[in-house]
Amino acid sequence: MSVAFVAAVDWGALGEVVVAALVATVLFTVAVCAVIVTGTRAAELHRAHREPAGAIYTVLAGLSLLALAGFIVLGLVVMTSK
Amino acid sequence: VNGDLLLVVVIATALTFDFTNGFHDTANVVATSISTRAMTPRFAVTYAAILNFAGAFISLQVAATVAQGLVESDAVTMNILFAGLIGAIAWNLVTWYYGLPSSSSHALLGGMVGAVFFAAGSGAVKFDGVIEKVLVPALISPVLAALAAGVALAIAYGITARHSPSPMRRGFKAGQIVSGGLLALSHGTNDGQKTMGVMTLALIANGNISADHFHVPTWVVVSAASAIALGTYTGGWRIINTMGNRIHKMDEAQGFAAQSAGAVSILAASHYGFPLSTTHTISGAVIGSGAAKRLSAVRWGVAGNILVAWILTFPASACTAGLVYAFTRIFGTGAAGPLVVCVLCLAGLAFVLIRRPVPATAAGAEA
Repeated sequence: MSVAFVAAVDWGALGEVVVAALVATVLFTVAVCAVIVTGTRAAELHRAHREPAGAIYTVLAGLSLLALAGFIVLGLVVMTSK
Repeated sequence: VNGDLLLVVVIATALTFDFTNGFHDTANVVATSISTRAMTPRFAVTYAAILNFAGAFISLQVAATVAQGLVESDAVTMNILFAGLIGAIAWNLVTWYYGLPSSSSHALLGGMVGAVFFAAGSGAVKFDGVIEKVLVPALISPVLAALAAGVALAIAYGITARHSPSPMRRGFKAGQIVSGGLLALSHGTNDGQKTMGVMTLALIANGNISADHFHVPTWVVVSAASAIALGTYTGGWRIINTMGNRIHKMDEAQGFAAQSAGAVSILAASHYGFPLSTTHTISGAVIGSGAAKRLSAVRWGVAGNILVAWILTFPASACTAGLVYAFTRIFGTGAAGPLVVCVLCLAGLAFVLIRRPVPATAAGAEA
């Protein structure tokens, strides 16, 4: 049973799955957290009328949002191509 | 006429299974969002139902795997398919009754393998396929998702720790709409197709489709997508309660981490052709997000019950399917046996539902 178990599993692919899942989770989480933090900070700075810093954080929030959108599109591509 | 009647019975049973699949597995997608109040219960199940429906149209690769990967297609008859589906439906209903998030996919695969084993012997079962597509994913998916959820939670807490909590909580709630959407879509893609695979096998067994030119008819895709979406919309509140509240009480960051890790793990595994169970993955992620904050936050007794249900899913569905097959054979190879089983199942289900008290959680969620 144990021999059949070892033989039936593609351990190389399995290792790639584990690494890919962990890396993708880290990147997705960072992207979402970046959107939350930069978006919140931008709103706070705009409310405090600190416009230059507010504008920079707005740009950062936009870039984070683009990265997040990229992840979502990548996820959809992965699903459609399997 | 007898063959066509049997085909209708098998297709109807497959769609019933698909409904229970959506009903049973809704919790995987919506429980964390409801628990953290990122979405209202009704919005969450509607959102999940729509994305489950859409997800079922995305790919047909899993349908082909179910139809061809675990048993010898030549050995499959309509009565075997029927018995396999009844075995899976029975297990789904039992685990739903006890509020346990077990894998509908493993129930279906167990039912199919059990019915084929009882009917055609061990030679008709592809045991390598069972190991690769059932056993290994069952072991890998919860561990991987728990690990990923723990890492995601550590990152989320680390990045947001120095900011005021209220906007961060709102941000994670919004993040859950994204991660929950990806999870619902991947669930529809994976699980909707499994029923499509069974329905296509029935059409092949009845001679409507040639086994040499495997394809899934459009009406099969549309009906399977509709059934799983309808089941999802109906919502299995008992399992939602277990996933959202009974394993551990989640905060917004934990809910986000669990859903993100679950969705990303499923997608990464799909990309490499490893079919992970959505139930095992998201359950592992929920446990991981609790344990990463504090080990004692997880109710390990509840987690243990879930683990026992996972271990029992495949053999229990297989045995039930085998018994159902043996029973239908008493009436011959035609439609009479499956029809008798359907009548008995409907009568039994009606009896249970009439006697069942409405759970407080369901009433609260509906209100």
